[in-house]
Amino acid sequence: MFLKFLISFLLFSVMLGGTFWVMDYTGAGGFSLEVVGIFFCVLAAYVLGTFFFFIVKPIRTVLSQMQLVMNGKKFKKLYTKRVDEVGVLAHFFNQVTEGFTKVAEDVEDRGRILDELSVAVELQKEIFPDAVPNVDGLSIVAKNRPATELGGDIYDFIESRDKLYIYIGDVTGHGVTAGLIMAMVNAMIASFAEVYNSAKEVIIQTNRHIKKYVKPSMYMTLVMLSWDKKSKTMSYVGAGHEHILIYRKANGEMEDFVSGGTALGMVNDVSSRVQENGITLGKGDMIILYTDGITEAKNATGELFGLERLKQSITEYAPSYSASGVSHHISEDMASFVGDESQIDDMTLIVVEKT
Amino acid sequence: MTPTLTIKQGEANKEKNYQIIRFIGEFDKAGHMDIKDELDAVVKDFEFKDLIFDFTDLKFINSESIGYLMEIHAHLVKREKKLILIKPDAHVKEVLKTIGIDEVIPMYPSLDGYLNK
Repeated sequence: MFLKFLISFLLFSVMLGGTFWVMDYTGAGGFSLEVVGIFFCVLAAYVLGTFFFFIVKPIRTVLSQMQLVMNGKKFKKLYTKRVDEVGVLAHFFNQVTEGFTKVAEDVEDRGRILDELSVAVELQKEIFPDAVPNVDGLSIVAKNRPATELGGDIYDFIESRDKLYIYIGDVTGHGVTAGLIMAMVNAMIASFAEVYNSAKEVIIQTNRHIKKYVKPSMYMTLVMLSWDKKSKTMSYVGAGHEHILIYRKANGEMEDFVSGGTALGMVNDVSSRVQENGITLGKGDMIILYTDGITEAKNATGELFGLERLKQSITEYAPSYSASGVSHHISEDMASFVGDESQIDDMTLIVVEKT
Repeated sequence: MTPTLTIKQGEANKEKNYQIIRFIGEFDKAGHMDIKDELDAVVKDFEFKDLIFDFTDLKFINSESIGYLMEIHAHLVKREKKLILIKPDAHVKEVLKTIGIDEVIPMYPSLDGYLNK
């Protein structure tokens, strides 16, 4: 624009000067040199004034605002009705800074969300037990590895009256929603375990309440072991969870069966599907509970770790290791199978050994 | 990139008031993303009474995808329609039964099984 203006000004000056020269040469004008000089001075002042007020000043305004933006200082939106290059520049500035403002707000929001998320992550960590309970007759090891900051897997140990409840649960998916449901179920189970004296009733009541609060696509599979500290007997109740695996020390064999029942949150009443069944345990027998993040972990070729590999790990290590050794070796086998593939689901593993 | 899961519209029977959608591939998170828009549109425009998902060629399903089936089921029930699952292979059937989805969504070993219910 400046160049166009300069060219037009020079062209106009040359043409005007030429006209004066021709008129002076032919004697048609009769202007004196002073008149011509004053005329040019006025013209130059007019042109320079116009140049300053219509071009230099607006550009300076835009540049000063740009400088404020670049220095991270407060800037103003530019208002103009001009449709020339200066108008375009001002409009461009407004568009870009509008983007900056949005990004700045987004960054602020993101920071706030991350702060809140870190609080939620800390709260969720609080939900997991600090340590395994020290119970006569059992040795317990539990591990959890969420796929994202907030996981949907849960395990807990609840001691109430003569019972120790050991449960593992998996909410559909992972992330904030799954984390919230997991926290809700955990609180309900802890409360109902105080009121009811059977794992079956705890599951039925938890489902009844959870169903009211979760959307249809969300549910939680769960299996709960119930250890009677007085009689030293074990029973279990399933809510649509994975297989329960039992290693028999006496013959080195594995048993596996589905936990039964219906996942929590699917139907209003699970009482007709829920059963509490006993598990006879001999010394050295192990019960292994897991979530599908373990069996569905994939390697680079997309192959699943699967139930069979999990069972193989158990039968390989259980004869010579305690609960913690078996848990450790299962984790190692799985890590070596998965390799560098990223973890796509939460993983939880509990090994309970009858001592 | 080959999609993990695809769906194909199968038989639509006006007289018996059903439409079949075939699932081909693996129904995990990636598979869900592959078909989500197409299946949402199918469910939204569905005009018959029973929407039948044919799982003959479905090789894998995970818990998250079952949640999606539950969502479709709830959506159809609100419109007084039904979701039916047919022909799951042994693995898919075991996963569905383990979670207890057969309590909520009817499942049949074949189309005839559904028709002769």
